[in-house]
Amino acid sequence: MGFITKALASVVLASVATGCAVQQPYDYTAFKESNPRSILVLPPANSSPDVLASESVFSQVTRPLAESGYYVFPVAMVSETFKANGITDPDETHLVNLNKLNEIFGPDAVLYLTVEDYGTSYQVIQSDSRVTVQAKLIDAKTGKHLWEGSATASSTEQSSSSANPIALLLQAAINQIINTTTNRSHSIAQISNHRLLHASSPNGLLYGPRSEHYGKK
Amino acid sequence: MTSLKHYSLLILALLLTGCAAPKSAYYWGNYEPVVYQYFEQSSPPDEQAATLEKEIAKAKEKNQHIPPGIHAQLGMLYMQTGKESAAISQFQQEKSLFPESAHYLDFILKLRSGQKQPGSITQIADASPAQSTPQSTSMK
Repeated sequence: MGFITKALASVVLASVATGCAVQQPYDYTAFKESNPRSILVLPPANSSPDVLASESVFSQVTRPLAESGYYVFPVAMVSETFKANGITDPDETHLVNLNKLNEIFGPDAVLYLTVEDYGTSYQVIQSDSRVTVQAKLIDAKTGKHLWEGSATASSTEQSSSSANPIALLLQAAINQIINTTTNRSHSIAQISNHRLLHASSPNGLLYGPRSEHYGKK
Repeated sequence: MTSLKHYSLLILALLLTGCAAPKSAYYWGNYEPVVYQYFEQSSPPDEQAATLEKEIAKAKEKNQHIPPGIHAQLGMLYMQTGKESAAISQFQQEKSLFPESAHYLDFILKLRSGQKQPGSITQIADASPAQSTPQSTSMK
């Protein structure tokens, strides 16, 4: 009993010490087989109430994916290409079939994103700017499912847990004003995108061929 | 200022995850903020183009890699402001840095040379909305 407790404690200590969470291994068989070089990110579908959500998230997907070693199709130009063809709603771009995407863009893989949360909600103790995005990566030639993931970032992660409830309420009201006027959600989206799309994340994407870490995960 | 704020949030996030931040493979500068400005239409296209030109120059000055998409974005802005040959030159540079983009950019250029409609990304011939032409091979 004492031994087990000690062993458990040292495991916990070890994972705290390394800093990175230990997780169940993800099955990358199809991903490795497909071995994509380029990713076409479609305009994100939006199930949050904020109309800015899709373009805010979309404008910040290139960096984490490119830093992970992929070519990322120019997002604004991709958006314009759909618009020029009468598809103005991001959700509708997800219905375009792979043959048509291949004919126009010629990507190795297609990334479908859905913004689940985007925006600031006033809660009793603190206001919360939160962004949650879901992702699904598909092989553009075979349609095979390669990877999926989801990530959240929230402004409350940084807040201290101060004791005085009145001070907290005031702080929440102030934060609310700051959050909405400076569009903090847009900055939060950069964090959630990084967590979701950078290959360094646990169970995240594999590193692509342009990365020095390619083939090492 | 805003990008500084973004940057500090990102650093904070990296600290929170506990994993070390890998060094950047590209010079990003204000590329993504300019893309957001494009979406929001919060600044005129020629101003956005000027910013991207500066960012490309800075990357070269610092001897850092130019990220994917920046030459294509600049090319599109040139197209929209009637600078056709400058646009084509930017597309060529995107293609030479990133051959993965060749199929798409050639596709756009081929359509433009056929249709000669300056000012916007060209409509793809058989990709009109499904509602109006249910028989054709539309994008939907």
